Amino acid sequence: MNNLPWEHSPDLSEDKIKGIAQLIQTVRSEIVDLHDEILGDTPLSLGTRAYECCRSRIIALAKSNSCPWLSILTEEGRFTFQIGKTPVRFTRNDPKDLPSKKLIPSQETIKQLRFFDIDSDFGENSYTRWFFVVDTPYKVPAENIFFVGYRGESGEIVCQWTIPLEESVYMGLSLVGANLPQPVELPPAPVMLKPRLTGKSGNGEN
Amino acid sequence: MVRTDSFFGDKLRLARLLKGLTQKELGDLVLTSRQFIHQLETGTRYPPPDVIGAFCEILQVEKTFFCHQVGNDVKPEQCHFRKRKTTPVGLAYRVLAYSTIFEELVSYLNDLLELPQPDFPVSEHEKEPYSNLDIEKAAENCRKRWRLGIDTPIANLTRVLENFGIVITQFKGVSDKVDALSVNRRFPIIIRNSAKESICRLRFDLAHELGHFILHDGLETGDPPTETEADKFASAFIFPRMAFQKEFPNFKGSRLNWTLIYDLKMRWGMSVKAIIYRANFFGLIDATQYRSANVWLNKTGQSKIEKFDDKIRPEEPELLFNAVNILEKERGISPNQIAKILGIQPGLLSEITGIEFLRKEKPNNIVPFFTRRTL
Repeated sequence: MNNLPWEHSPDLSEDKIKGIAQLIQTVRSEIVDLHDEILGDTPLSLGTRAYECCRSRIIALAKSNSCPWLSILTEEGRFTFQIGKTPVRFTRNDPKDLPSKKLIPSQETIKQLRFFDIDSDFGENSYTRWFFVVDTPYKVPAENIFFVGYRGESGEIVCQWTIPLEESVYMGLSLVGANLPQPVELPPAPVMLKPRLTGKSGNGEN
Repeated sequence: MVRTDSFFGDKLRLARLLKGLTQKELGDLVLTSRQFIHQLETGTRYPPPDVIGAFCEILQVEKTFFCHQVGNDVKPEQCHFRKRKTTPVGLAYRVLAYSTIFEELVSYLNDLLELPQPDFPVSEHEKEPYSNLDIEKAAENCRKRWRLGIDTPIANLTRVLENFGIVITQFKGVSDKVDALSVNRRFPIIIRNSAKESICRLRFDLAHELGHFILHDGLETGDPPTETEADKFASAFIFPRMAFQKEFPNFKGSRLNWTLIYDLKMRWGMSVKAIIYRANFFGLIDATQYRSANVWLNKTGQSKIEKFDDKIRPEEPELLFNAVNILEKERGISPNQIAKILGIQPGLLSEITGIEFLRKEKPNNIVPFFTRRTL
């Protein structure tokens, strides 16, 4: 088993994975902060809200063009985005015990991958499903986020990387920045020689 | 014509202060007494040649350095320099000495080169302190005069200031207790501390010094009211009020969304700490939100260096470097020659300009030993 995602696919670079993980972590923290049981919030509302806010923020980030490597493959249903050309999803679960229904890919993913990342020994559905897996208890911000590759429908783990969340990765403007004036940039300050005076230059050359 | 055997004590004092040495420390280094150094500096005695040689070595100057009187040294009241309670007196003198020598360098470059002329709107100050509105307007006027607009971020603040005639340099190793300082005599000069890791703080310091140029021309600064005014100017210049009110998200009655605030930081090159200060200043967040935001920044270790500081494009002064390069290319005057003209050693020139002059000049009459044997 290759231990690191970028050993499987150059699309899956460390910075990109950390950036998305950080976004998921930030959004979940904000949702946990807003959770209010007196109002009637439940684990279901927290989970639904966290999922939907992560989804919409990833879509906004992809549309902002600040991460040209990020795009959306399946916007509704089995939400799938792409890092480069690699389809990726996210879920909150125990990475070692992912429900098999989660491994069912979206139609767009199947179309994209069935001719490429397959292992002839395991058949045409054997491509790797990549997931950000948030492993955290209820009402707690994301404690651990893993980037996991599951091979085929059996869900055999071929790669599992614990994403270091303490290191900051800036992902570019997510929600502000669209349709706003661009920063003003000036050229370097002009410097030129003064015309030489006739006679003594007075500059130490003589 | 200056006699080469003359010795001016005020030049010794200048070079000593520049190196941050006390009279006793210098005396110990050249094996003389503190009293002797004092007598030399006050002009009551003259040093023997071997002591002058030792001074040159330790203070990184040439013998000719001592042959000219200090023409017009920078006085404390002419220098915008935040006088903190913790700033040692010796350090204040050191930065003044630094400013004096640096000004000589700029004066020399200005004799040979067409540098951008200073062009900023100096406010007609009165005895009363500025109101907040006066400061906002002063910053906007400056932006308008420089055609920067009042709703656009400034990509490279250092360049903007250099384009409008301000010479910027960075010093290493003076002290991290000095943020930045500025002098506006013949030339407006800003000396910034290169030890700072946060580009947002550097940008803020530059805008702060610009605030002194505009608001406090001819006034003595360094006290809390003038420093606060310069801080307010810096905020207003980097992130003008109209743009701030347009772009700062509405957090009334809700929690702060840090992602959005970091977005603003990246867009405007202003620290999150300064952004939330300004948001509170305009009443866009309440006192509780402001307090909890500061607590969060401190708790997460972001009181000095914040998240994503390293993702903002660094800014380096270019004017001085380009000026020295043009002189060398077009006139054949190398940095070593410039150092010699100023009576200082090349190492000291590097120190005061913050530029590493990598090329070592070799005399062309030296033949490598092994080459010679094989001839």
